Amino acid sequence: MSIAATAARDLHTDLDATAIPGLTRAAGVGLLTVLLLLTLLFIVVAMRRLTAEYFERRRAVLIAQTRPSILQVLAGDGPDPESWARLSEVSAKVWRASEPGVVALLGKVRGGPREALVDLLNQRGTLARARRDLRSHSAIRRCRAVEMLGAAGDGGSVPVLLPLLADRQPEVRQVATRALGKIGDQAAAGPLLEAVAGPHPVPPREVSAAIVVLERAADAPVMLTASESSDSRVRSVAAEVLGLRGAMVAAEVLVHLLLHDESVEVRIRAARALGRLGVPMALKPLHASLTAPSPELRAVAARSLGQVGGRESVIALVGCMDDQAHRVCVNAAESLTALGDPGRQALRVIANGRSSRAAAYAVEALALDALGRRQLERVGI
Amino acid sequence: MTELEHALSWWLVVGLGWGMIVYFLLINTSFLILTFLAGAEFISHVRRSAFRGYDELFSSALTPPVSILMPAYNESTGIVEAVRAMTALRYPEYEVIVIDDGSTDETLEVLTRAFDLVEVPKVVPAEVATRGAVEAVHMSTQGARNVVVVRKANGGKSDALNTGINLARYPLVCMVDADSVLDPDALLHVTKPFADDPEHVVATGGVIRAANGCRVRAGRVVDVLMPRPWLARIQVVEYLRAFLIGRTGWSRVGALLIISGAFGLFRRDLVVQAGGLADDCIGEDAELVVRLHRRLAELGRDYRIVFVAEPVAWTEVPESREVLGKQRRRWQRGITEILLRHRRMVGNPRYGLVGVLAMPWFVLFEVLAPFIELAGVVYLAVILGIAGLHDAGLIGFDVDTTLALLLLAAAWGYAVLLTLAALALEEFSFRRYRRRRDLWVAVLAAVVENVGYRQLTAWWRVSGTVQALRSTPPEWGTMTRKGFTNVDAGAAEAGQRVQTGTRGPSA
Repeated sequence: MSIAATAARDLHTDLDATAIPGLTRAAGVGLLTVLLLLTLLFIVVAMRRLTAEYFERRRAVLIAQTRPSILQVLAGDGPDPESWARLSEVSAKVWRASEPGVVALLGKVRGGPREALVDLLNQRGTLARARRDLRSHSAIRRCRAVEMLGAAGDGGSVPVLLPLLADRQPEVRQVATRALGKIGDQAAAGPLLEAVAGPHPVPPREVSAAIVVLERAADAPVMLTASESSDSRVRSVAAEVLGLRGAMVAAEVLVHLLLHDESVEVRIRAARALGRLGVPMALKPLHASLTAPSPELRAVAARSLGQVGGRESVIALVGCMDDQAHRVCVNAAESLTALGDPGRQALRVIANGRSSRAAAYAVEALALDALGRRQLERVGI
Repeated sequence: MTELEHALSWWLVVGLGWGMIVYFLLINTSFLILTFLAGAEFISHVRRSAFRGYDELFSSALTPPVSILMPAYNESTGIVEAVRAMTALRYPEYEVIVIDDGSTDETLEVLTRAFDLVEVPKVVPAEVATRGAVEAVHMSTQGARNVVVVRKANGGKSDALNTGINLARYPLVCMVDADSVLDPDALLHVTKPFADDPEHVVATGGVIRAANGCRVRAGRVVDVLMPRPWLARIQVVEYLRAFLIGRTGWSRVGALLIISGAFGLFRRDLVVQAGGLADDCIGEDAELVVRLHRRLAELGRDYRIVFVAEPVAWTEVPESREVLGKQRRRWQRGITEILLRHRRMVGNPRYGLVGVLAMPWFVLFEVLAPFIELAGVVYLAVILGIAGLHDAGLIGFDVDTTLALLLLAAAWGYAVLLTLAALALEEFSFRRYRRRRDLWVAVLAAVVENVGYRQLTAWWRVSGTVQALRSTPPEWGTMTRKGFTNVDAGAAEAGQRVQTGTRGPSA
């Protein structure tokens, strides 16, 4: 007889599963638990919905008390004394409900109304609280505080915001980066650049975007110094920013980066920046980059040549219409149309000529050029 | 009854019963863990949403441009509105590439009329292999050059997407269904992880929600409402639990296996390197994700695939049993095929948590689940049947129904609990269904789901797995859909609309 059969005989005289001790109780407890939890969850969902609706209604009522005054502040060039007094005197409860709306408005208005809102936030102690919250243990509070100070353009808080570029929480670092960009203090450009390469780095895109927003930062020596940094991420950002800010004084530096930098990423950004600057001195280095090993660099160089212009690029661009990389051919052909009649003429010759591959790109570019002109005609340009 | 028969019967009743109870406890507990993970993610997401910097992302010249790929097969009814909605997304630089996969209706003609398309002799590179030849590429003469329509021979959805990838100009490709309705900021949100962590993020997926019953205006969901048919209502809560909660949970632990083809964003260069989408696999979207996991892990790359819980792509869910059955068979077949194709990854620590956790979980709790589910139904029927017959005095032996009750609690009670937990999370985070009545309907749907719907879908899923194992020809074809309730278009939109599936006659 099998062990199973013996065990079964020992335990049962019937197929009565209750022979397992406590099974009935377990089933009862299990079912009861599930039912209880279901009821509890239902109550939680219902309560959440009811309380959320209640608080939404309550908030709407509270906000309605300040809305007319805020609109009057926004409508005028300076603070209307009556509205100002009303907003200064509303209860803490009403202000708490209205505050997020006021902060959100900061990014949408300029001039006198904006200054009035900042004054209001100062008077209500919102900005002072935000400065205190910069030292909070909660990353959320730090972020909220930084965001508020940035939106208010609070120049006085720059020294306390700078250390947050190395905060342990990535979102705090990013919010601090954006806030420093909005505040626009050029003193932040150097630390922002360093933040790209720190032990807790900030995404280069965030840093570039912030520095581009900083007034005249691209003309500052700090950008040119950054282009000599030993860290390629810093050099990349410097190249990007110099191009975006149209810093003509940087053309030589960018040419040097394009020709000699060891990082392909930096060279690509330098090529792109030179295209944006559109300076003739970029032509030769860009021509040289058309034969670089990196297809992405070749593609960017081809596009930049179209942006710089000049008929001397026609031959160079025609030369890379047979490139193995699709994007290089497309950009070269598009750039030829951007060079005007000499470029278009070259494309027509290629379209009727030797290489079927190059001809296809030439035909495409000419068709897109015609389409572009048709689109411009439609809008009356 | 002999002792041996007695013992066998005992093991069949008690052993099998306990086996299934343990199985359901495990599967539901794993979902509970995913729910907790998703909860943590939602809390983090909602608390941080105010300072994510979406406005800065929108206004920045450095935001990575995106190519939106819309495969379309016989979409003449809704394609114009869909493309218009895509061109109105809030995003700095993007193009919309519609791939007409050999439609037999007027898809191309209506697009040509609406956007003044002209044929352009565009060079389409063959970076990814395709089957259906490109017949023509059209571009709009209106506005910027950001609407491209490519007409190709029918080759299926994967082939259409691969053609779109070849045509894409930008470094990120976003795959959307032609009948998906995106929230205005959807593209900004799914791109954010790429902008924040460009070195590591390789793909992001957006959440899919059921659009049935919702009001749509100018290609935007303006009023989120519960649909009327119960079949659709159940899918609303099912999508909430399975897509929103499940995928967010997996993403939280870095083991997301599925990004829906209805809304997914990928790095183009990596998709090209991986060979594009597989055209011999039904679940091409998930297969691509698994292939990326596999390839990048084998290359020793540090990478992230991220699920973005908000905002969303809205899609119409089937309202008929026939259409739903086809869909579920296809999904299950897709998952089974993917797991078979990449079986080397299952349990393999080389692939990290994807290998040792996610893929075994999918084998145990996605592929096997419908079989156990149906076995549970049979088991319950047998036990309750025997008990009933005994009570009626028709047979001499009895069984204890306690186990059956425990099984019900472990399988269905626990499942309702999980769905309610998902609803609770939704209430505490996004609260998209604003009408109170819709919430009660959702609660009821969480219960009703277990009676009939669950068993039906289990049956279809079993059938899908069997099809995959037997390698039978895939079940494609078109499926009619009702279209959204359009506030502006009214009756015109309420007409029948054809589904996105791009497998046409050739497949």
